[in-house]
Amino acid sequence: MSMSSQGRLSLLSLRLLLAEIRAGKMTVILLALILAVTSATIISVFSQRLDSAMLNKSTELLGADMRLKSREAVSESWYQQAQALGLNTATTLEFPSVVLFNQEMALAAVKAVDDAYPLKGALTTTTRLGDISSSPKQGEVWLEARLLALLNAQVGDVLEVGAINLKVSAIITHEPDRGGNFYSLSPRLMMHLDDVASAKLVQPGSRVSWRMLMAGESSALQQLQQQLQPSLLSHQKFESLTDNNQALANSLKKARSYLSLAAMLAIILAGIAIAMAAQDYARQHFDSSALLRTLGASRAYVTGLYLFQLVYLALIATALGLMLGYFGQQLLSGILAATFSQTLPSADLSAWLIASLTAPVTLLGFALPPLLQLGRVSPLRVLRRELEPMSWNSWAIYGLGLLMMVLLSYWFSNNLIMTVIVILAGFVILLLLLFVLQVILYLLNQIMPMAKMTLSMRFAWMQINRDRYRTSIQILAFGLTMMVMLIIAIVRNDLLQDWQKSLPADSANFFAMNIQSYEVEQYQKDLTAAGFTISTAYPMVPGRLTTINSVVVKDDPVYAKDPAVQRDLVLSGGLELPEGNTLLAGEWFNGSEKLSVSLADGLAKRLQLELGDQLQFDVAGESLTVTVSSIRKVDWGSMKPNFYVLFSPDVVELLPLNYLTSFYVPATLNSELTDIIRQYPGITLLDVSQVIIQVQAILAQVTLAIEYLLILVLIAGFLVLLAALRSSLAERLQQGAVLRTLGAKRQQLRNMQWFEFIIIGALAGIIATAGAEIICWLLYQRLFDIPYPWHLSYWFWLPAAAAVVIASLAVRNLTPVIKQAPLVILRKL
Amino acid sequence: MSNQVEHKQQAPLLDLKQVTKRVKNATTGEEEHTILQGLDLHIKLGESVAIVGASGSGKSTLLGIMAGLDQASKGEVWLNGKPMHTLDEDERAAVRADGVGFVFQNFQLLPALTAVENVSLPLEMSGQHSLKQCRILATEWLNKVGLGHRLTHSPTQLSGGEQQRVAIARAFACQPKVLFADEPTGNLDRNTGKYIIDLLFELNQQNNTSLVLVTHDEHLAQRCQRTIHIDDGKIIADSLLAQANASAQGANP
Repeated sequence: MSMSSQGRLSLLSLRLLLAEIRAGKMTVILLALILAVTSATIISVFSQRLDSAMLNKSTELLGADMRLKSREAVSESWYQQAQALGLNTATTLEFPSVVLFNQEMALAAVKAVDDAYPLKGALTTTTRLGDISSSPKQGEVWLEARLLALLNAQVGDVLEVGAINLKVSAIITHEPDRGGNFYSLSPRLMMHLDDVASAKLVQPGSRVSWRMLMAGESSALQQLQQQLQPSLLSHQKFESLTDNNQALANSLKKARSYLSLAAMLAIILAGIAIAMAAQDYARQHFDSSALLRTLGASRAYVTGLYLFQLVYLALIATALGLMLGYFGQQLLSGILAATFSQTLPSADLSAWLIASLTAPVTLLGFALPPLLQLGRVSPLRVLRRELEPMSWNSWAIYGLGLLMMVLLSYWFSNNLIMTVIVILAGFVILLLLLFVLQVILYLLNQIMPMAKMTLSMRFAWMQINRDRYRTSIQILAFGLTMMVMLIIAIVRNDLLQDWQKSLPADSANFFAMNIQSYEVEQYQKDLTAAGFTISTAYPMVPGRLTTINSVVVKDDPVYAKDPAVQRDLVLSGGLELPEGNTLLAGEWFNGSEKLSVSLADGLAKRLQLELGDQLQFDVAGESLTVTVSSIRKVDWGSMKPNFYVLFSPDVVELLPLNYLTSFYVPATLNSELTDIIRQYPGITLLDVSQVIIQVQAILAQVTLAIEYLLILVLIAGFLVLLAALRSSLAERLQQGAVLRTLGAKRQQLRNMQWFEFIIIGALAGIIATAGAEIICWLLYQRLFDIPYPWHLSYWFWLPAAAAVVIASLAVRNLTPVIKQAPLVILRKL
Repeated sequence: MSNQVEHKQQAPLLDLKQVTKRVKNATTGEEEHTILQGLDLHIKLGESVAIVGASGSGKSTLLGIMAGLDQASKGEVWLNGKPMHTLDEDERAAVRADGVGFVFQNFQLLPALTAVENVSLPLEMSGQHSLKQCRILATEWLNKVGLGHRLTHSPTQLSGGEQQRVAIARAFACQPKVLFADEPTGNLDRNTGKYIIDLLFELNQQNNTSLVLVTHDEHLAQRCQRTIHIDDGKIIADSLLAQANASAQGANP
């Protein structure tokens, strides 16, 4: 075909399409397409914005996008490299130091920062003197309220910090990257980096931590990390969120998986809607196609004509869908932003690109096969209307649709496991169910007591059984849609429960260490009396792993690289298996064993340790050899004391121990805490309340977002159900008109519809439940790492609920079959 | 295309030689059922022919095969000098586009298009005219069938007779050499039917078009120059042959 005839064809195609839109023939397919693009846009853009909001929120916990930790000042050239890549940088320096005010002195966790700090998040302060700045200026210090209390000082007072005097100009209420590591136990004092030299606080050999903070494009960050990695010294290390906050990292990972899942399910819903609409569209155009062939159009011409229509439809739907989707996600983001007084970062181009490709790609996958069928309509159909085009090999149709689905989903979710589970496993399950369904229908037909049924019931059953394959496809469309809705609801419930379990409202927010054995009991009594919830006290002692099976770890190339070998470990022990730990191998201590040790599975795996291996520890100058007697799984996500190494009770008795405990202090009881701190000056406290508040805030935000996504997917699913019902309307209208002409009463037709759709709904409900349970089980095993609670009760009430919902929707939507005069309908045909 | 020599010598417009049509049994898919048995038929340019017969006699099948909408199982079909029995679907479509018009019992208008768009559609598809020319020609033809005031009405807004007039305008707009009509009055009342038939014959004469009309209405059939009776897939009577026989007998008693 020449260019000009192609051009003419495309114009003719456009004119025909516009005429059909004008005549209202395209409303259903257009709505389905627009719905598909709109929901895909909302979910992809919204989830991406949410994802970056979560990422932003979590980078606040680092005060930067990326951090490099070092024991010495980081070389100036590295800063230059970072800046050359367009990254912002800042520097912090942390060390413990004693500060003095009048007669009072206290050990402070000093953090010296430059003007650029923090790169992410913000320090919040109260009672601030002077100008507003993001961090302390030279000559000033910012303090935590706890330190002011210890020093009996006030804002405006001048403290002795090393060799210089600095004025307290603000109280820090929130430090985003405070974190909770064991070196920052004392209350915070923040000063300017340029004052450190004159204060003469840092001498060569002092134990200090420098951090180089970086923020900017993730590609630039990656590039820098690659550039610097080879030249890192043994004490230098890039820090990520996972190192600092396992609980949050885990929760965020799951939340992001959920967002991907929601997006993927939205695409599947869109696919179902488009597939149904396209079938409908093709069916509607069999007559036109036959007529065009009669008028002398070739197959290629007719196919081309409809292909162009497909392109136009995709363009129209994409434009409108993107527009509606834009407003939709804007609205959602607005609600979320209002709730958390924080605007969501905007989505990048890729999210919009994916959204705009939804219509063309799903159309290609699901609408192309039925449209190509249009080219195969025999022109003889103009004389013999019952002639249907040769159908395509159904494998070709499903294959193409499936392929498009996999590609789009993978692109959408960027998660291969999830794509495989949801799409491929889902497809296999559905094929099996389709087969089982036809067998069930066949068997039901054998035992159905036709003679005893009313006319309506008999006719409805005949309707279902007339074309079992077609009925199965319809049941499958309903079932698939409900399955998608069910999956998203089940996963949401279990994720939220999982989070609540890992971070209950009364999670311990303080850790107390260095509690001497003689004061443990009294300390715990005092904490309880103050109204705090306390956990068990664990014995602890710092110690270092020196040899493994007589191999000196420092000299072994593999062992020496492990961080657990390079530093002191917090060692503990006793008869009790700590809460949240489960035994993976060996046996737990019963009190009779000698010199035994139980290891966390992560450590055992990294150092390739097995039961029976001999380990030597250096504890308080003494050497101690023990045998590995068990390996435990430790839940590092829980905010409870967790230990790599637990000794048997006989070892515990040999060691110079002190104790560790954790407790929960409600915000209202902060003054009681100050009293206890004064009472036990020797005990070090680790305050993780800020971290917990931050984590809980993020989780609350994500939870809310997940609720929105759930609602969104449910609405989309509901609309698809409606579309599925409407797709059979024309055929039912004709049949209803004929039946009524033959004397059927309206009530009989109603009863017929009820009976038919109660059966279809119930079968669809069973399929949805079965599919959702299997897919969720796979998802939980492979992706969410949560034990799957099978939902036996669903198998009873879901099919029943589905039957009622589908039947009510159907009867409502098929009202025209009953309301319109038969003559009107017959005339239109 | 075939390498057969095209029929040239005083070519009949339509030439059927020993045409047989068999179909498979719809349910078993094996047993064959014969609809047409070895038909011979020649139709000249400008001739009007009625094909009559009872329901199920095979007359619609014959129309489908003559117009190239369907293929014969055996035998030859020459339409407008083209060997339809050797052409594939698309090649037959090209023959249809070039000189064949249709009028159907159920009108077969595209419901989404207006009257003028329906008539203009085959002209636009032929690509021989600009869109404006197509619309002007379509309007002219609608004027000729008396629907100049209904140009922008959609089929659902038109009565049955008016819809059939649009279909006739569409058929003639392409200036066909032959017009196939399948029970063109079957869905119309008596008066409207008469009007439609008058129009059909009038335009047929004006344009020197051959007309092949399938009907079971004897009155309608009598208006054609020639009537062919079909029963059980065979021609049982052909008025032309009868005349020829009669005149042969009259000349040679």
